[in-house]
Amino acid sequence: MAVLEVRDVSKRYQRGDRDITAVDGVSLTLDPGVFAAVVGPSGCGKSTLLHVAGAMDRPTGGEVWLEERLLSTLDDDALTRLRRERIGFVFQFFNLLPTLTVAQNIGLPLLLAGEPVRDVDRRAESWAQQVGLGHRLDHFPQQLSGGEAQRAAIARAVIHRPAVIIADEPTGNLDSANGARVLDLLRTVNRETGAALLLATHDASVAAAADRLVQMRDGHVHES
Amino acid sequence: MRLFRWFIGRHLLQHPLRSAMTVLSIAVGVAVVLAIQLANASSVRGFEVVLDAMAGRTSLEITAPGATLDETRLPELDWLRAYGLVSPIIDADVRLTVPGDGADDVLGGDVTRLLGVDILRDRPFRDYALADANTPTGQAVSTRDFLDLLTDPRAVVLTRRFADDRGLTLGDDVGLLVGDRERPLVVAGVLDDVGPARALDGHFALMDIAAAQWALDRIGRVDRVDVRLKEGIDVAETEARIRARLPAGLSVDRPARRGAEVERMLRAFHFNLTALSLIALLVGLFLVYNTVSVSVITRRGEIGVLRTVGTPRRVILGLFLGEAIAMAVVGCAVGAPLGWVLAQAAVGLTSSTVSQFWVTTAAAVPPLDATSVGLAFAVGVPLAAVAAGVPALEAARLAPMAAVRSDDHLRGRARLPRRFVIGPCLLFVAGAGLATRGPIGGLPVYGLLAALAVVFGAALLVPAVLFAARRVGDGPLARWLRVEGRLAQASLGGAIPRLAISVAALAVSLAMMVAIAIMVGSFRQTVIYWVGQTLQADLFVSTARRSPVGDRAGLSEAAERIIAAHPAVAAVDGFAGTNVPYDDTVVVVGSGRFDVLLDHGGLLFKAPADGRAAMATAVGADAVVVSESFALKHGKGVGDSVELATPAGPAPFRVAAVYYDYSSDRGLVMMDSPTFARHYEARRPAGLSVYLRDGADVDLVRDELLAALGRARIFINTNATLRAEVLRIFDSTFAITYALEAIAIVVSLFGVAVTLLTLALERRAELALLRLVGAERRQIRRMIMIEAGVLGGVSQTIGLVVGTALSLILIYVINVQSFGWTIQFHLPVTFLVQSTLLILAASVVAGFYPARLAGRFGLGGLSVEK
Repeated sequence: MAVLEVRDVSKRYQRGDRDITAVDGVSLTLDPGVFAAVVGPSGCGKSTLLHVAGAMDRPTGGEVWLEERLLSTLDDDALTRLRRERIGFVFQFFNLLPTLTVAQNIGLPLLLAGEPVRDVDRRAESWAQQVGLGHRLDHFPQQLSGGEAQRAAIARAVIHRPAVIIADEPTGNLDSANGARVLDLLRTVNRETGAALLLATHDASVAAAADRLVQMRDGHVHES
Repeated sequence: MRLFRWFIGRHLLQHPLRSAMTVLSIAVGVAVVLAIQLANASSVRGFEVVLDAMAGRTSLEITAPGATLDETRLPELDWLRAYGLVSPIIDADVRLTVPGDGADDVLGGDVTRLLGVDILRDRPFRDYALADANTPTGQAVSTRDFLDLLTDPRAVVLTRRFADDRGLTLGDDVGLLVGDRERPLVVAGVLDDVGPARALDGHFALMDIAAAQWALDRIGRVDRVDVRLKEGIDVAETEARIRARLPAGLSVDRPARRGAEVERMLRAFHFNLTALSLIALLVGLFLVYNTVSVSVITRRGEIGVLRTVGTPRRVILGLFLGEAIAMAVVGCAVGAPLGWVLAQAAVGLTSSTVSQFWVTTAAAVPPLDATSVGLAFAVGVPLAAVAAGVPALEAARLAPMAAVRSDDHLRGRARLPRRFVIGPCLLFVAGAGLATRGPIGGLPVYGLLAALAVVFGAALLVPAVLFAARRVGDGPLARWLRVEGRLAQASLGGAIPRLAISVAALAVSLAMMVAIAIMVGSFRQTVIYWVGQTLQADLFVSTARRSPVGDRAGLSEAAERIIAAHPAVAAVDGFAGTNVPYDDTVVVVGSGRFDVLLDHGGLLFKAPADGRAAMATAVGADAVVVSESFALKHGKGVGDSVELATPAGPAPFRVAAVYYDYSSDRGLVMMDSPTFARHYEARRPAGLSVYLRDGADVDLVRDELLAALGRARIFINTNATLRAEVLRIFDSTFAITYALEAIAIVVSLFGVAVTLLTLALERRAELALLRLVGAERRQIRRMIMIEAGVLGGVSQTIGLVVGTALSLILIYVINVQSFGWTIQFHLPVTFLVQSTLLILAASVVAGFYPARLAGRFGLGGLSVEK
C-alpha cells in the first residue's frame, strides 16, 4: 500500500506580474521503504514538489494523500501534527536552531509532541550515537562542521519514526566525502526504519543510489 | 545623500512598525522633558505675570519685613516724593463668595487678589479700564468717576471675566471672607482686561484703600508703599540712596525681587522634577541605541557589500548616525506639540503643590513657541546621535569580508566579556563616592550624579545578569513551562547582547519606579509618624480648609474666647506666622505658646537630645526653635544665633532647639508668642490647636463649638480628619512623580515589545523551521509570551535591587540636600509585590502582538532554497 500518493498536483504562484507554474499535473506514488530521487535542472520544480508532498505547502490543483489521509482536508494544526509525527525533513542548509544544542535539536519533534523530557533526551542521545555525534551532544550548531550538522538534521528527521523522509539537496552543501557519508546514512535509515525517502538532487552519484528516478523538467515529471 | 535614501530611508520604510515605535519613544521622551520645563516655567512665569501686572509702573517698593506699615509713620517718608510718585497699598489674597454660588456653602470661596489703593495717587502706577453701566468698554474713565465709584465703603470693582463667569452685574452683593468673618460688599464696577485685571485669570478685585483697611481689619496699616521714580532717574543708585535714608525696620526693593525669591524657593522642586523627566528621555535613548544596534546587526552583510565596493568607513558611520538623527528629527517634531499637551496636565498636577507649599500662582502653559520647539530639538537630536554612536562606530569598524561572511556574530558569543563586570563595579564605586559629597548652591548635583552612576552601572550590568539568568533559568523553565519554556530560554540565551539594551531600558525605568516608591513610601511613613507625634491637639480650628498664602486675617478674638470658654477645653494654642526675608530667600517666622506646646503638644526634636528642656529655656526669651530644613539650609545649629529682620531692624535670636517638620521646606523659625509680640506686630492666629480635658467627646465638643460660633466662618477638624487631610495633600503632591514614572515605564514596555518584535522578525527562518518540525501556532505564541514574561521578570528583579540602592541616595542624599528633610527608610512591601505582578503581566501583554505575528508566520521564511 502506498504511503505517499501525489495525484495530478499543480502549483502556481505569481512573481511580480508573471504567473509561474512550478509544478504542472504531477502524479507520484511512494511505497514504504522506497528511495525515490527527483532530478532535474535548477528551477524545474523539484523543491516545490517536495514542499507540496511534505505538507509544507498546499497545491493549487490535485490531491496529496499521506497514509490514506487527504492533506487538503486537514487544517493548519492538523498538518503541523502530521509533519511532527509522520514526516521528517532534511535540507541543503542544515536548518538547525542555533540556540539549541545538538541533543536538543535532535529531540525537538518529540519535545514539541509533548513527550516526557527524560525519554526525549534518551532517544536523542541514542540517535546522536547512531549518526556519529555522541561526542557532540552539548555543542551548538555553529560549533559543528557541515557534515556533522547535516547528520544532526538527519537524526532529527527520523527520531520520531516518520513514514516519509523529505530531503532537499541534502548533500548539496557538502564535500564529496561528507556527501557520501550523509547519503549512506539516509539510505540506512530508509532501509532500517522502512520510511519512504523522497530526495531531490543535482548529483548524479546520489541519484544513482536511488530505487527510482523521477525526472523533472519545466514542472512536468518524466519517470524512469 | 542618495546612499542614505537608498540604504537607510528605504530600510526605515520597510520596517514601519519598528521605526514608528522608536520615533514614538523619542517623541514621548522629548515631550516629557519639554512638558516639565514648560510646567516649571509656567509656575514661576505665572507668578511673574501676576507680579508684573500688579506692579504696573512701580519702580520700588517700601515694606516692613514681616509686618505692615503704620500709616502714622508715612509722613516720615514724605522725602520720597523728591524721587517721584508715591502710592500706599493694601495687598491681600482674599476669598470672595457669591450668594447662591456653590462656593458659599463650603468654607471656600474664590481666592482673589485684592488691591486697596488711593485711586488719585495710584492711576499713574497701574492701568484700570473701568467699564460701568454708563461707560462703553474701552473708553477711559476719569479719575473723578472712579473716585465717585469707590466712595462707598462697600464698593468693590471686579474684573469682567470674574463677573461674567458668576453672572454678577453692577449692584450685586458679594461677600468678602476675612478670617472667620464675612464682610458684605457691592459690585460697583467692572474692569476690562488691562493692567492688574488681566492677571490670575480675572481673580482680581479693587477697592478704595480706606474701605479695604476696614474690610480687612487693617485700620491704620498699609502693606507697602509703591514708588514710581521720575523719568531718567537711575533706579539702582536711587534704591541705594533710599535704603540709606529709610528708618530702621523698613526696606526697599524692586518688585522683581519677589519673582527671584519665588524662583529660588521653587528651585529644588523644579530641579528634581527635571531630573525625573530626564529618565523618560533616557529610556527613549536606550531605544534609539537598540534600534540602531539591530539595524547594524541585521545588515552586516549589506555593510560588508558597501565596504567591499569601496564605501569609506566615515560614510558608514554617517549613514547609521543619520538613521538615528532622522528618527530623532521626526520624534522631536512630534514630541514638541505632545510636550505642550502634556504640560497642561503637568501644570494641573504641579500647580496645586506649588500653591500649597510656596506661592499662589495662576499657572498657564505659555503657547508653543520657537524656543520650546528649539529646546525639544536641542535635547532630542544630539542625544539620539550620541545614543547611536556606539553601534554606528561598530558598523564603521567592520572589515568588509568579515561582515559579508558572518551574518550574525552575536550568536557565537557564549562567554561574557569582562568589561561588563568591571565597568558596572567602577560605576557603583564612583556612585558611592559621589553620594558622600555635599550640595552645590543648595542643589544635590553630586547626589544626582551618584544616582546616574548607579543607573548606568545597572544598565551595563544587564548582560552579566542575563548570562547568569540563562544558567539559572535553564532547568526550571523547561520543567515548569515544558517545551515552550525550553525554547524561550534557548532563544533568549542566544540573543543576550541584543536583549540587554531593552532589558536595561526597562530595568532602569523600573529601578526608578522602585526607588521613588520606596522614597515616597518612606516619606509617607515618616510623615505619619511625625503627624502622630506632633498633632496632639484634639481639635484644629481654622478659617478655611486651605488658607491662601499670606492670608493674615486670622481668627477673631471673639471666636477664640468662645472656644476657650467651653468647659471641655483644657488649653488653646494659636499659630501665627509671617514671611521674613532671610539669606536671599523667605522663611516663615511663626509664633506659638511654648508653655502650651510643652504641656500638651509634641514637637519631635532633632537636637539637642532633650529638646523639651531646651525649648523651655526659650519661653519668653529671645530664642527660637527652628525646623530641620531651616537648620540644614542655613547651616544653623543649637546654640547658634540667627539674625532676623524685624520692624525695628535686625535682631539676634538664639537657636534653642532643632525640630523635625515636614509641612514646608521653606524653613520655619518658631518663637514663643510673647517674644513674637515683642518683635513683630500683634497678629491674630490663622488657626488654633484645641486640647480637650480627659474623657471629653471630641465630636460632641466639635458640634457644640460650631453651634456656639454661629455664623462665623470656621472650620473645625478633629485630630483624625486632619491627619487624613495631611496624607491627602501628601499624596496629591506626589501625583506628578507617579505620572512621570508611569510614562517612563510605558515607553520601556514599548521597548520590550519592539525588541520581541524585532527578534521575531529576525528569527523568521528559525520560527518557520520550528513550524516545519511540528511546532503548532499556539506553541510559538506561548514561547514568545514566555520570553516577554522572562524579560519582564529579569528587568523587575534588577529594578528591585537597583531601585533600593537608588532610594538610599534619594532619601539620604538628594532629599536632605534639596529639602532638608530626614526620612526614615521604609520598604513598601505590598506596593512592590503588586507592582512586580503588574510588570510581569504588562510584559506578557507587551509580548502579545509579537507573539500573534510570529504565530502567523508560515513556512515561507524557511531558507530551503537559499
